[in-house]
Amino acid sequence: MVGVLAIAASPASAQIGEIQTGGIGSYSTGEPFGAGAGLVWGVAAGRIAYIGVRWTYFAGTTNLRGPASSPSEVTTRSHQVALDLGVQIPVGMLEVVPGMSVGFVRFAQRVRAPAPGGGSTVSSEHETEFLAAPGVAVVVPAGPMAFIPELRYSLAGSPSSLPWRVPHGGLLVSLRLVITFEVGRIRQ
Amino acid sequence: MSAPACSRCSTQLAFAVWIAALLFGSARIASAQMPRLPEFGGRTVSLGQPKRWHWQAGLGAGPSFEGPGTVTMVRAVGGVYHAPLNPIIGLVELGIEAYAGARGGKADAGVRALVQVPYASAGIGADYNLERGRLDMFVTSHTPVRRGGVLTRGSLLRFDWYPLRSHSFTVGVSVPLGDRLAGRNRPIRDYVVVSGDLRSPAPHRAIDPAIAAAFDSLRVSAEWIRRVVVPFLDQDGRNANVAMARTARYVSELQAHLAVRSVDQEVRAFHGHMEQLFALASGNPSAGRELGRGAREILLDEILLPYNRMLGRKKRKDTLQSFSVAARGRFGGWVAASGQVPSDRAGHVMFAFQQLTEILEAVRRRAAKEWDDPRLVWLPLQYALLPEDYDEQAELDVLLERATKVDFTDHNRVSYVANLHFHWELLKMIRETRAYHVLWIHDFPATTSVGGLDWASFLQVVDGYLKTLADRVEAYDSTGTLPSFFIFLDQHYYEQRKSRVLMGVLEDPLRASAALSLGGAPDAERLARALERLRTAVSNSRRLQAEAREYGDEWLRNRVKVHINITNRPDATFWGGGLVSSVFGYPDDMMRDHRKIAFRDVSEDDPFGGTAILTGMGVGQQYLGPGWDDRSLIVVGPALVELKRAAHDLLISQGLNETEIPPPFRAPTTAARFVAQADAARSGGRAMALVNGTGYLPKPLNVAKALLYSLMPPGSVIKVPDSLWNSSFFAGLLVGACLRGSQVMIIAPALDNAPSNGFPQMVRAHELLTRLLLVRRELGPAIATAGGDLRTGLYALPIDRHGFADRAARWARQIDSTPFLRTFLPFAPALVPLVAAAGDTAPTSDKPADRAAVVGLRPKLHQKVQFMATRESWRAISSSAEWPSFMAAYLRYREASYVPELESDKATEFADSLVQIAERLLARIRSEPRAASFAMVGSQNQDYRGMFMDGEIDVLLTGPESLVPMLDIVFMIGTVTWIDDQAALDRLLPPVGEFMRRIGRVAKDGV
Repeated sequence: MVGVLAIAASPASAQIGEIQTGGIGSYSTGEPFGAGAGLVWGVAAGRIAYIGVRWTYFAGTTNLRGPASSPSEVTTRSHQVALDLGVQIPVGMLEVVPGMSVGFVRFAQRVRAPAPGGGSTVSSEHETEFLAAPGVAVVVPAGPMAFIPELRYSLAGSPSSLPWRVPHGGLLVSLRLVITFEVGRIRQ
Repeated sequence: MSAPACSRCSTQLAFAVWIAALLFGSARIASAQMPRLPEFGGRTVSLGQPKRWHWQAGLGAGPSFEGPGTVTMVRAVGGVYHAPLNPIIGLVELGIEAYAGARGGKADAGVRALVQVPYASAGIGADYNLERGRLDMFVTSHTPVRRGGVLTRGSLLRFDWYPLRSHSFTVGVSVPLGDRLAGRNRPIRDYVVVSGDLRSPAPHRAIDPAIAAAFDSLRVSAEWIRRVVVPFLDQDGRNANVAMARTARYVSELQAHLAVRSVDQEVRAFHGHMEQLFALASGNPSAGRELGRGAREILLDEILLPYNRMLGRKKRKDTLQSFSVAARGRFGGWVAASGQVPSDRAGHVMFAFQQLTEILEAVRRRAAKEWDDPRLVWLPLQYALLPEDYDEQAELDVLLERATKVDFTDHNRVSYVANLHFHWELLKMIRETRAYHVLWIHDFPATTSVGGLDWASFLQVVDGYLKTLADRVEAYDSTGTLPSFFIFLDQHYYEQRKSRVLMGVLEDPLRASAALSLGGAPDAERLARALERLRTAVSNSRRLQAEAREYGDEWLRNRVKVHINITNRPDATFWGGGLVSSVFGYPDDMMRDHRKIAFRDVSEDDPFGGTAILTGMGVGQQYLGPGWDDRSLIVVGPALVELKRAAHDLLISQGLNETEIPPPFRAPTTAARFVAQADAARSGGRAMALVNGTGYLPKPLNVAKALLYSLMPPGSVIKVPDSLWNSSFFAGLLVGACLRGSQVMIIAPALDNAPSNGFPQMVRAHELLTRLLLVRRELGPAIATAGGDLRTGLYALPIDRHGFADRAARWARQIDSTPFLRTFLPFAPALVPLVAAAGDTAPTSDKPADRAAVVGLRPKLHQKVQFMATRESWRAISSSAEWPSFMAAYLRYREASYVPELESDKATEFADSLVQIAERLLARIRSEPRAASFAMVGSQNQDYRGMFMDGEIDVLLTGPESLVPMLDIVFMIGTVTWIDDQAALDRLLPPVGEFMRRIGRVAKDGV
């Protein structure tokens, strides 16, 4: 209901200090993750509270699973969509942002298995799980841009319906590169 | 009965309950005729005290996803709720609910317990379903959707979610039960519509390109006038250094421009361009001046004053369009009637005027963007006024009246009183009440900060209200009159300071118990004696008993009581600033009534029969003594009629209707008599009472301040001490005054002397004072060239270990050692021996009454008194021979009103003598029209909360009465610490970290 009401509203009203928009590069050792890249957009309201969204696509990894005599080639990838919330605490010229990402991870698994009569069969499965990722970021301003390294611990649900079990959480290292736009107050 | 039938029954029952609840929730007193007067059997209506528990009923429906299929749930809900903490803060509310209805084809019922956070419009609870015998969690959220309520007044759209029942949910409406004020105690509109629906005529086109091109210089000049009259000093940035660098850049631009052209030259250049353009447009070089004069008058009347009147209010359709159309219509008519413009040039002239209005619109737009807030847009009146149009008292008075739509009244007698004098005067005033008395206050505490009974409040209850009621009842058989007493008390401090304990006694003294939950046995005995005396008087009054026999006991209890009105109650249906109502918005509950007034017997029939005290203090012992530096005004005269109107407006805004308004506050019927009597009265001060309504109501007080700050002529002195000096807007206007040649003194408290010293307030003050230091440093030469000065001082007084003698000694010492003070106050050096002697011999110095010293309290600056005088006025005042006697009387008065143990009669006597001396002092400047002076005394701080949110009142004085506050400020000027560098500022008002700075900025409207 809140969402519907918010969308229906005509006057946007918030104490806005800075809009950040840009890209993100991430890395996690977990099988469905590996290297990833995506987009971020957020608002640093009053330069105190960060509220943003992110989308990250992880290339994942391909491994051989199953009996050594007839292994299956299992490729697991994922992408995340999350709402980022954080508190911006200035420390000298930097800002430390403890926060949390809340959203979902979509795990996808592609299995190429040897067919009984020769050749191979390909099957795909995917599953969406809840994501919560507490962590901390550091905003390093550089003129109209900012570099934002961050460290998060991903707590995603287990994608139990995938053919092969994969780790679904763990440490996630990212670097956001954003352009910052100062915006005035809209609330009146 | 079958299950489906039962389900239908329960659904019907639910609807019946809902409809009944809606009707009950919206019930009003149905009386359409004016009620009877209390003396003839009528009842006086009051808001009363808020209930500790409140009830709600509601109806909701939604899908249940439990089980194999989706079924519909319909539920009627009733509940009772209680806020264990201060409900105004909205942190927690507990509730118990029961519901009944249908789920699918089956009857459904259950009970719930919930905890809500009203500020978040959400809560969580446990739901026990009787039908299924199961306990579940549920989450609830509500929003009024629109101000006042979604369907009826007070009704809320409610959403209940059951995450553990397969995310089943219901959506419905809930309504308050038995609360007739719900949804009615705030204005429905939280904004003012600037540009109405006036038809836009076809624009005039530039026929002559030379005319269009000539407007460029006018446009540039208009922008510079805006920047020098209201310079913007509140730049922000990623951190304090970036923000400060931006301010420095802005100031350096001003500096560069002022080096080329002064403010006065800029204003005259603007008007010169305007006249040249009209001459060009009319094709008649001699017509330019007259057309310019007409255009100025119409711009002032139709655009500048109407728009500026909305200063501090939220705006919708924020353009000057409809004002401009009205101005064009009037100007077109005037041009046609004047015959100065040939008909073939009329289009050119109208185009020129239209361009002028478009320049003003562009100025408005830029100001709104720069200030980042349309509430802070002030269009300089210099666009329509030449300096000679506002350099006399009479001219400024008329402009104030036109801008605020409030009239000055003459013949007001005003006494200016310090500190605890208010306490004595309030007591005296209650006892002298003939017809009615109003105490309109933000704080009437029952408890002290350490949990004891507040003796000062208790004294007002027992020796003030109860004693006076008993006296009047005892005399009732012979007089036939009983006064009505009213208390208007904002709910915030009412809750915080447990005022219910005392208000309960006053609201029902014929039945109240003397056993208070606070205080000791002697207090209870004293209260019991006072109540007993009143009850005995009531039972012994043959007349009262005879009337009660006919009108009933309820009438008697309504007649013999204090009518308690707890105002600004929390109401979940009033939100502003959000996406939709409460979604990302903020509640009106944040807005307080900051007015502090007591008045009695004010009426249009006899404008001199009433008295009022306007104060910055509350009732209560914390406000007494040297630890609280405050001031009050005692006023007698026609200016007070405005207070009566304000009381009427307050009760209407809080949810009463016209027929419920108590008789003393109803509209007058005898305006003609009022004028006749006022004219016949004694001479006295000219005064205007300016009342800012609470929340989104009109704010004329803002307008008066902005007008005076922006128009005081060159050479004026402006002294503005305040306990919350956070408003960059007012500071900008005062910097503008300096640039025109005024000498401005801004005084704020140091951290240790601030009565409200939370970090958001202090960080805002520090930021503002830092920027004023920058202005002084960078624009000092430009200010000096114009003849002005800008000084910032910190009220950083130590504990008065020897009573008032310490203050006197400090004054003498600082005057001696501060060169600029000796120049600014040329009379002061001669007074040093006199004041120094008071510092040596003040009688309070050995008394144990120096409580502040005993408990280690530093004096807190709380007074909101401002003084403004033109150069001519200040010169005459400065050179008066009355200063020694004036200062001597002042010192005696301050000593007499310094500690509670001293005698009130002496203080009153000395206060009167001060006014007499001020009258002599003023006598020599009465004949000089340019000798104008103003004093403002009241409740409004120099902060955005006071401008945007809170109810405020100030009295604006001219004449001799304005000089007594002046003397008080002169004394203060000699005791504060004048700040010349950042290090001194940081020492007395330490800066805080960047995180707190950001919080202070985000919260700036509310601190």
